[in-house]
Amino acid sequence: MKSRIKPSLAALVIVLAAFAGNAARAADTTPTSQPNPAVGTVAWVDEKIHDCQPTEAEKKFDKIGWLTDIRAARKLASETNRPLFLFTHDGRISTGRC
Amino acid sequence: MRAGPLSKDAVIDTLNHYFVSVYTSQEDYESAGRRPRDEIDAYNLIYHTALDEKRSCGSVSTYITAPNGKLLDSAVVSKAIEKDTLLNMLNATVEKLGTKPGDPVVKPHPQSAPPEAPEGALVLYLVARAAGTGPTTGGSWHEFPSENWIVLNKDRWTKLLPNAKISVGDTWPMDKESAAIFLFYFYPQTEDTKDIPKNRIDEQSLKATVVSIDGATVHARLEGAMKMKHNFYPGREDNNFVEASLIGYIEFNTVASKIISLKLVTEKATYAKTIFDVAVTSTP
Repeated sequence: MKSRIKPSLAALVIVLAAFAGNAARAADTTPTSQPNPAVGTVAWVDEKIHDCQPTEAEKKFDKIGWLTDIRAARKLASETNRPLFLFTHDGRISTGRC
Repeated sequence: MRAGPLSKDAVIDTLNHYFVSVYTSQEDYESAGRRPRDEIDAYNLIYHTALDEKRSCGSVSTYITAPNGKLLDSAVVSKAIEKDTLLNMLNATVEKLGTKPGDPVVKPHPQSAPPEAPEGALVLYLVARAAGTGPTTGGSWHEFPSENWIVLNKDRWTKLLPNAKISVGDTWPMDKESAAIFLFYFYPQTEDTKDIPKNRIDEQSLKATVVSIDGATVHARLEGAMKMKHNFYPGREDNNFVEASLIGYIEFNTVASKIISLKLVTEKATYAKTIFDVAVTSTP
């Protein structure tokens, strides 16, 4: 008896689940109001903006306490009795346009 | 250098705890009027001393001076990026001078920051990222993305907005000259030693379509395309073009005549054989 009831119950559950699933999908795709086409665009654009941003690993240069004026650096080196490190380059190392 | 020695923890720690660190762009020291005379003299003193002493030096170089200004060491970039060359130079200096460690004398802070802008200006932040960009994956020119800060004065950005009453579904073309100010920087990382590259926009379209209006706030979708000539190396002609389709949105207040938000990205973009993305956002 047990063995005969089990398959029947299982089948019922499957049928109900399938029905519920179809109903849910139908609800998802049935327009209750005109969708705002901007919603998809906004999410996509925001995600792409997020993905483009410099990562922490790409910004390690910022972890150094930099000056951008040799005169100020020389003055500070003298005042703190520290050696001065100067890096000269072409373009803009700070923005990566270099 | 930025993605190499200057991103290594040991170099960062040594610079912060034992040195005063300074970087300069050659463009500022070679173009008249950009830096004060005594600042240029301060650079020339270090550079010419290195030359006179037949030390390793050039336009892209590292130099170390003692606290009294005496030049102690230098290395042109091709040498400084080799293995632990820079770290060894720093450590040798510390040992020679007996420098005691201390807190950073300059607090580390973001080096790419919004520029000062006139009252009412729109400041845009642009990031350009070629496919595969990364500190360990990108290789030359693609180790980190490029950034630009772009300022549009009020008389310029107001031309991006419609000049007549609008309704949902209406479309207007964004002012070509105003949009070109930021589209000009839609190119991936290249050899980029000039603040204003010699780009030429050959084709450009950018239109806005009103999606919703909530009181005085208008939300519009942006769509466009562009084709732009951009030489990979400044001053060296090539046949490389940017071709991109664009998508984004703008929110503005019609009563306050204010752009609340402007966001624009490349939907698809290529530069020669490089696939890349650009993202532009307005800053508060």
